Amino acid sequence: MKAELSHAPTGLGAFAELAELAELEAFAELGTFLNHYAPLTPYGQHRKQHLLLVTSRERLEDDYRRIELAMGFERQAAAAQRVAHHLKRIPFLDCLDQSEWDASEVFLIKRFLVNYRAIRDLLPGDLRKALGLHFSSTSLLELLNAGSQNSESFFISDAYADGLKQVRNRIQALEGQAAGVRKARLDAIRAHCGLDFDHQEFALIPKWEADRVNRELVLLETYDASRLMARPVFPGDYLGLMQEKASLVAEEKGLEREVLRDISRHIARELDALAGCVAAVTRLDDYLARARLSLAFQMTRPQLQDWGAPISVQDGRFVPQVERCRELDLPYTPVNARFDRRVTVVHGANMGGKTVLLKSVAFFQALAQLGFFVPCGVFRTVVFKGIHCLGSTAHEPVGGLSSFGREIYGFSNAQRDRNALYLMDEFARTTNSREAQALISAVLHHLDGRDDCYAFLATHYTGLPTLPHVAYQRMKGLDEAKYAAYHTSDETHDISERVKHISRFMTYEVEDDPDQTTTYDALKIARILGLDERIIEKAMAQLGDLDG
Amino acid sequence: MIDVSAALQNHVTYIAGNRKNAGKTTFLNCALERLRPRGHLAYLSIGVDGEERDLVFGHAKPQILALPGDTVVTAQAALAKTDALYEIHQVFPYKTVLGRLVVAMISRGGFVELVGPETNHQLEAIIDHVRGQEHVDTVLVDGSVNRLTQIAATPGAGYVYVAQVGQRTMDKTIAAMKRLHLLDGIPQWDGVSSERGFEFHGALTERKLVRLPPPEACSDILLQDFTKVFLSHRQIVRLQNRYRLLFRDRLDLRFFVVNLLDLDRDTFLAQIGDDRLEQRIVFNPYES
Repeated sequence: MKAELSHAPTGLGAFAELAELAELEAFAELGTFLNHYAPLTPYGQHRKQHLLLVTSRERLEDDYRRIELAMGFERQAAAAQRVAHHLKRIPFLDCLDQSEWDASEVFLIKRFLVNYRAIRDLLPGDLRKALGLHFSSTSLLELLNAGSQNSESFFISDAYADGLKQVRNRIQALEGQAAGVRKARLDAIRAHCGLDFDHQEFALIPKWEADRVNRELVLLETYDASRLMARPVFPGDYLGLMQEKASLVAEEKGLEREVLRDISRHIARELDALAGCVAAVTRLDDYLARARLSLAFQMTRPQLQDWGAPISVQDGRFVPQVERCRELDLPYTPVNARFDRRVTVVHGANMGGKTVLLKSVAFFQALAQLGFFVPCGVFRTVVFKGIHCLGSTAHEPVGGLSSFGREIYGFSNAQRDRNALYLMDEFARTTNSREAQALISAVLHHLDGRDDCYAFLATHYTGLPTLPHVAYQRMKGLDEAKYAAYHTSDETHDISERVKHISRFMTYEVEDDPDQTTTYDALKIARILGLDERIIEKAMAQLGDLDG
Repeated sequence: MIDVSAALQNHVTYIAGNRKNAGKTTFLNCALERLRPRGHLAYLSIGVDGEERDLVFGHAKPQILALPGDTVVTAQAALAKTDALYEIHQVFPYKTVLGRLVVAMISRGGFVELVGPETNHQLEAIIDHVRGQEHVDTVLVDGSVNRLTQIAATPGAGYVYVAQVGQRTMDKTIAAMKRLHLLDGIPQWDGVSSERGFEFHGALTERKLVRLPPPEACSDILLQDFTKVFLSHRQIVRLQNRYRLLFRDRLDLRFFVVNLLDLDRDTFLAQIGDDRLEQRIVFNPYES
């Protein structure tokens, strides 16, 4: 079947509250990945929607310690499943800011406490202690379980008040009497009128049958031009019983309201404890969700270092790219890189992986500072006060600014942050090459002089200044030998197959390149993509002239 | 002869009506009476139903008698004023003007006002809970007037169409019934893709017919379900002459309930003139 319309999957959307976090989310493609981070309670789900970067190393180390504890627990599959069962049954208590609670709200509080206590009892002592899962509402829970209540349902039991039991017994007795009177009357109607009201409250009969109906037993009303609606007429003692029942039901309702007021007084005394339980179960749900994510993606604890230390990645997996490669049946090359200086400039061929490398760094750093483990063998980094993505992000221009204007505006604003990380993907790529190169050189001088920031720049430009705190690296690019073998073949491929070929011939590895080697991979790629050979040769000749 | 209980048992069934006071709630009471001996059942409403007087026209309305063992879904404020006794099994986060929506098991019979969810998403979650957590397979939903789109919230659900028919409304009602009967005859897609198939997403209206590929290029049109078809009987027939129509989801028409007003049965049946449609009709179950 062909589809008339296609619907692209949407990302997390509400992940970032601040504009710069939205840029980071878009650049690092966090939204799709964080769909795998799945808290089970409404509290955890709410927290997920309000993630913010953590800028305190101490707080992050606390987070990581708790994730490690939670991972240990999640590895015990049976116990973890039981806790997950109870977490899913935790309701959202949006009624704690009141002084009286109706039956449905009492039910919610009871269900919360029942499941909270079950979770607490299933957790090992160290995790319970680390996350502060205390329970001191035993007497309230006992009250809510009064009578023969199911642990997860609630009704206003007779056990709450002697008067309630008496009233209900009287109602039951009256109903028994009334049922007897009713049955006798319906039997009489059946015998005298041939109408059966055992299973229906009325019957429609033809008007010509009116004469066979005993009007003392059956009330007839006009239904339409040809039919009558017949209803049983019950004797006076039946109506008296019903009235008596109605007044007893009113009394019962009054007693139930009193029971609810009494329960409310108990709940009011426990509000602080309940708030503590809410906070604790939110933490637990969150860390268990982070632990499950870590186990599912073989994530490890980030190694946070002092300011100034080099950032390094071993066996890093930028998961969105891993998934794309899997879809295209292409191998993924894990990130292995060490960035010894605070400022790193990465250059290399088009489609050589520069942007993916920057996105990978952004992805790992964002996860680390959102308090998650990272999908790396080892990720050593420092804690930044702000992470700024400048250049090719997914966001539309705003405020009438061109993409160049937006880059410059963003960079100017970002300069105000201290202890910041700048990820600049092909900065100034939309202006002319001479000015762009001059601008990037000046930016590098500026960053080199600052000791309060780290920066990664991906660029096509070489010939940039040699500076003490600036390192040059390059993506290895096309594998010449493999490419040559391809180039001599006469095969023709469609565009997706050509793109796959490029990916197969690329070496997505980064290496030091202090001399900023000039390569002409772009022309080779243009050839693979099918550009006219005469144009390629002309361009090659032109480069030869320029290089002398 | 349609066995009403058998047609409704172990299914989710919406009760739709052709107009206000068509007899939906009366039919619900009748169906409950017949279904109770067959096992556990649950019922709910879309919007407000079962109140003593009609909120729009102010006249007396049939009340819903809940009996011990029934599972009902309604708002907390509606439960607070019922003379039935009940045990709360679930409270949903959705709030109506009468408070949170509650799933309750009746332990002492009484009259209950049904207040239902306001969105299809809520409806879907509630029915999922009733079937999955309360383990109730027979669910009746007192639906809205002239709105069938809610049915699509429950995959595999069906509906009963309750029509009050008088002299003046006969032609229009019969046309509506014929249209629904025609739509009910459209088969479910077998899941096998066809080169000459075309899936149409969204609501198929007269204006959107031009988006369909020509019959030379396409033989099968796949639609989501009958609630997405906003075409007249004649337009559907014309479409069927050009393509084979298929539904991704079948939402069964269980039967029609017809309440005649100032109209005799023979006149009505003569006007229908369709034996197969006649066999899908249950006449007012309260007629003696």
